[in-house]
Amino acid sequence: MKKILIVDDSGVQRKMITQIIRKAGFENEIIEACDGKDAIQKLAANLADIGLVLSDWNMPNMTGLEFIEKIKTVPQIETLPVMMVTTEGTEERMKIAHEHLPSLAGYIIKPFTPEQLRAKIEPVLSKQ
Amino acid sequence: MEEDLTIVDIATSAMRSVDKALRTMAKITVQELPRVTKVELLNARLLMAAKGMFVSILPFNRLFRKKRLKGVCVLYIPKANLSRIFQAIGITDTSPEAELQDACGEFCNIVLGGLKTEVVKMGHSELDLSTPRSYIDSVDEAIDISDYCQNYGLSFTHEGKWLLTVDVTMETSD
Repeated sequence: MKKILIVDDSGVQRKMITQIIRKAGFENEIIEACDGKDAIQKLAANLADIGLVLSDWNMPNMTGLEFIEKIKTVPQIETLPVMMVTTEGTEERMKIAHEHLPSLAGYIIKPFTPEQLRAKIEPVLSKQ
Repeated sequence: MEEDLTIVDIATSAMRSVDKALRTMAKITVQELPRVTKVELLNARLLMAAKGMFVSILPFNRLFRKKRLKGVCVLYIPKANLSRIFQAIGITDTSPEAELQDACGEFCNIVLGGLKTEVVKMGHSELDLSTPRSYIDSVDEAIDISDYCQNYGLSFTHEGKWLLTVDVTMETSD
């Protein structure tokens, strides 16, 4: 079973996302990273095992957008599904994210209900 | 043509955003939304908030027809209410201080992100938000309030008890 990488500078938010994934019935191992730099290291160490990345946008050191842009240049990661999970909810911001990252697999706006998160990740995880 | 953004628009956006964050993050449905009311003496409130309170201060600004509009949004959550608000995510009275601060900070980020989105939904251009500064038990800054500022406040209650308050102050000079 593939692992899920959650990238968020808030430990509480990482905990919330993990709880929702568990409640949705997914038992995938969760790897946590507190910013883009940390996420790159964790991704490199688990490259073949990660099946989904959920990344916040606004984080210190390296933003979610910079992190995703960076990893999408690596051929082995090109097809890895990556979703943005963020408070940036305006149309303009979503447009920026999709323009920068045409391969973005999903855009989830905080705050979200367990049902909303489940609806986004379920189709991706059930394919794996 | 886009109309100028008023302090009541921002306070109303803040109210909607807090309501949504409470419903989705804290599983709290507020039966009656607070009225947006004019309040005085924001600095006095900040001083009173120094003990037993989580306070998050967010400066914002916006350029509109060559006029720079400046303001600040302040969120107050009594420490005693934190476990009530965040019990859905496993926060208790005995949770470590760092975790409480993280939960409050995340709640505040979600509220402020929602505020930005609500302002755009009302038909206005985006607000520029600075990074919020958060405090527990002490507020080591004062907010510069000129004679041209107006202050509006919103107090949320749940089951008859005070939950949290949001103040918005903004320059209204021409």
